Amino acid sequence: MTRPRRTLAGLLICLSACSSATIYRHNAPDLEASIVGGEADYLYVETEDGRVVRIARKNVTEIDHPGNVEAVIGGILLACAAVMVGVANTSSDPGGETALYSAGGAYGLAGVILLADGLIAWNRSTTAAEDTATHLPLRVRKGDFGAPAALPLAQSATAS
Amino acid sequence: MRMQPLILLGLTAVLALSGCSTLIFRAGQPTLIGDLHHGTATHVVLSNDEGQLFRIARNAIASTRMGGMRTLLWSAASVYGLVLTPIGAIGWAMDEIAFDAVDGQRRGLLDVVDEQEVDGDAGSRP
Repeated sequence: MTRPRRTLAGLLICLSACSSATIYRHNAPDLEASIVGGEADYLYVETEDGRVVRIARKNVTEIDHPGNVEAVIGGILLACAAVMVGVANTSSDPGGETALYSAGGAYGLAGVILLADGLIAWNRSTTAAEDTATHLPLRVRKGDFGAPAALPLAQSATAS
Repeated sequence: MRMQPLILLGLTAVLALSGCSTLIFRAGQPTLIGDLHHGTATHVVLSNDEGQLFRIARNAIASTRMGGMRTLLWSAASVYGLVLTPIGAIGWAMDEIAFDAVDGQRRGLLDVVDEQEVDGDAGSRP
């Protein structure tokens, strides 16, 4: 396998492992988790050990859904593939033409995989986040629920 | 064809630099993400996107993935990414130092909110 193709393979492996959303919150630490559903006031997210916990929507300021970077990079690779094939079509050098077609094919395949995988992951996460009708059988753990939703703001001092 | 290394280097750089935050994994709780600050013997201090600081009990932490680790992984995925290796290594080392440091009190990081107190919205499915 040539060096660029090894790199493409590495990118595919690395990117396909990203499936968690980053949930930014006000007055609470940010979370990295898979969103599995929600109801009017809560989002349900899955923890690393497979449990589903809920977090209050009122604290959520922004959600960075997974798959968008993947899809953008897939689109860029597809555009590169199109340029390579276009240049190959106008090339007068048979050797260069073959190399360009070959590279264009590899970029195109990687682009399609990334674009499709990214869009699927993004769509799954956004759909789950917009869902307000999931009613999971929640067991509220003693001591966790009913605590004040927001205590006085944490000091926003910057540590050196 | 000569553009390929530049394209791949650019993509690798974008990916690598997007992985600079620290992940804190906890048993039965959602994973926290943020920037680590010096902690105390019993807590580490983590900031959120708005710069607010929260303390996380060390005994609630199952494992961590320090900022810079992902950068190193990305850079290892490609020879074009090798230029990013120092960035990842420095980021990782700085987070390791912050995680292990117990001088947060001296650094004025004592009066931060306990993460458990504000995260009072956790219910779980059996």
